[in-house]
Amino acid sequence: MPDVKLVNISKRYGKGKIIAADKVNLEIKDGEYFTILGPSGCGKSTLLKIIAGIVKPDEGEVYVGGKLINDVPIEERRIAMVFQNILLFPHMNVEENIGFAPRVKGIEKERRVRIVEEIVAMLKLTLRSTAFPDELSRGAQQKVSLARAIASETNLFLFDEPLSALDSRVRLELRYELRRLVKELGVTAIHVTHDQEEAMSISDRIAIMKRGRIIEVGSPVELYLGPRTIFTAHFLGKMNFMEGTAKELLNGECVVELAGGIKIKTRVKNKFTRERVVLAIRPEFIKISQTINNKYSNIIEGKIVEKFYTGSYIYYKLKLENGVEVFSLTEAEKTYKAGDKIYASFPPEYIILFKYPEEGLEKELSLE
Amino acid sequence: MIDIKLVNVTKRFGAITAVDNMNLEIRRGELFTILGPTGAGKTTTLKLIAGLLNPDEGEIYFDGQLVNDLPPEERDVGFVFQGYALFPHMTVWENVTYGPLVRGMDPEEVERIGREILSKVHLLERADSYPYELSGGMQQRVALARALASGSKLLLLDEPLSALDARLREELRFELRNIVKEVGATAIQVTHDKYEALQLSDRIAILRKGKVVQVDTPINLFTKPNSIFVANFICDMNFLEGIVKKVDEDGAIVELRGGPLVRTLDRTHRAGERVVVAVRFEDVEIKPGETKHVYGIHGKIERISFLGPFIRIEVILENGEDVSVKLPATIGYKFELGDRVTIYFEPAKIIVYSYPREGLAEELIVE
Repeated sequence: MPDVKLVNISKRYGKGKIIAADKVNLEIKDGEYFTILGPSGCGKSTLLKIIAGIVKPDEGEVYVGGKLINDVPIEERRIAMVFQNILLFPHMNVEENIGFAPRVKGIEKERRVRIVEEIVAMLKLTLRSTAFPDELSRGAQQKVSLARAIASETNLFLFDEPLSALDSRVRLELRYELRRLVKELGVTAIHVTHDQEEAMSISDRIAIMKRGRIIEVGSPVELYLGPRTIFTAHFLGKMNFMEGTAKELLNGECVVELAGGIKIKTRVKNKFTRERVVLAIRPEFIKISQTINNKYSNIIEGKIVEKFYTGSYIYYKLKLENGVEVFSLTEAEKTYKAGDKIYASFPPEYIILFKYPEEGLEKELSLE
Repeated sequence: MIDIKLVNVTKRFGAITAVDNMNLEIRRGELFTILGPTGAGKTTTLKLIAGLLNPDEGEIYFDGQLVNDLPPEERDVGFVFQGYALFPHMTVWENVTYGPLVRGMDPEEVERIGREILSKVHLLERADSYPYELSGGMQQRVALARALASGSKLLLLDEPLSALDARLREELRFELRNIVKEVGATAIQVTHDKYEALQLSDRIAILRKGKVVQVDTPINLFTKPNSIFVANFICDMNFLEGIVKKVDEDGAIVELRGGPLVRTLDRTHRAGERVVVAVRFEDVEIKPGETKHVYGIHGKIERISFLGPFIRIEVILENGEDVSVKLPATIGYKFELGDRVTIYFEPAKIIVYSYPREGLAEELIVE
């Protein structure tokens, strides 16, 4: 089980114009399910290719299991990769595809058959082992390519958007399979995706990447509930942002004045005073009601602009009395309609504050 | 704005019937979604409406006029297909404003529409770029902008957001509906993403193997799915096999495999009948510890997935079946892997289906 370490990795493309990796430092632990998450073009696939040895970094070092591997060729790195584009041998059946690596390694037939059988059982592959790839659904094909990767008996797996090309239901199923397998085999996995829900549900830790840089690393819960940057807050899940000014402290806790002079209490201690801030709160934490509920604090009047149905929950777009628009995620049982007057409450314990970004909020939120 | 009608439409490709005797009515100004698994015939249906394919049987009407023999260019349709074909020698701006200009729209109006729509798909800054200078996701947004700006009365959108990052897709979803409503076109969208369908659509048709299995509003589809297939496709749902043990004045009591009992309000099945009990992930009640309750089922937490606003917990029940529970993350935190729990299904939240003729597994196949 190897740990992986990237030290000051940089990579430029197109005569140096495009920076795919900008002094990246990352440490991935032994046996960890690690995900690199970011918008398209952020450089996440390049990082994976550098670890695999497909792309050479311009600068920096790659260590696997403590060993510098910059000059180790791909075939000697003992790394298995699974890509979005499923690459099975079309002229080989399921069994032959899975047994390919053991055969190349010269493992005798009897043991090879046993290896394939074990993997088929582990993956709960209910396919005919004599079927050819083009007879299988895409989900089944991707399972076979996963089986083939396992059969190579390596202990570092690199997944490059392995689920992106699949039907959403199949994607969900395979998501759980991936993590289960990695944990069962006790290997290290590095997974690259742009799908935030996938990243959150599958990973031990996530690195958020933007424009060739690692913005933040943490567990899914840490990053979701306590993001340290506006970009992480924005990219991972849905977030409402409101501009304001940190005014005074109330028992050491920051009070923020929003547009229209509305004051909001927070639980943020001693961090900001008399400066521009960005206040952030997730839609599921904003409570809406038809009358003022004294249980809640930070109540702002507003009205429903629009609603978006998502099954058992509804996204309401609200327009607050100061003109600011926010989203609230609410159980579908209480329904409101466009134009309804409501009171929105912003629980202080769920409010996050950020320093106002130098280049403005919009620039900070841009995905590209 | 026009209305569309498909009457007994069939389309075969060799031995495969892609669209099987389909009847569909799409209302004037509606944002209508065709939803179904890969290979259900969604794109074929769209191509038949566009005139890019001819039906083997059946009729297609636009505003009551038979259009079977009308070539695509005369159907006045704006479309976005996967593999978006933009004019390669034109800039983003020229691509988007081409339609309105050809129609002879007033230049000032063209300018206004172009700017408005490009800013909504976040591409105003790239107005002077050529398609080859853009990423796949950007090109798809240009194709969408071009269709929206075209002034066509009918928009056909085949997975219009599929090439986009999950994050951007979510953002544009909200915009797409607004723009379609603003330009006042009838729009037919094809997707396999149920959240996209639920959030955007006025009505949704669920397709399976070339047939329409249910057409309804998002809310009705979600609350009253007419089959196990639709329920599985549109909701996150648990399906448990059982036999109706008895029926009293409150409804049926179902015995699951291995003996656990479930109280339902169902009155459409009789004692002894084989059934499937369906409950949404978010409707399952979960309590810490193994408490005693006639209709409580004990189990152990097998897997916990963090989804952001929600936590999904998978529980292996005492009868060996597994049940998924979706909870707001703020409540879900208190549960841990390996915890013993009690599961309860609220009778009003249960849907009871007859056991499917071809078996439950077959009904749940989505590929």
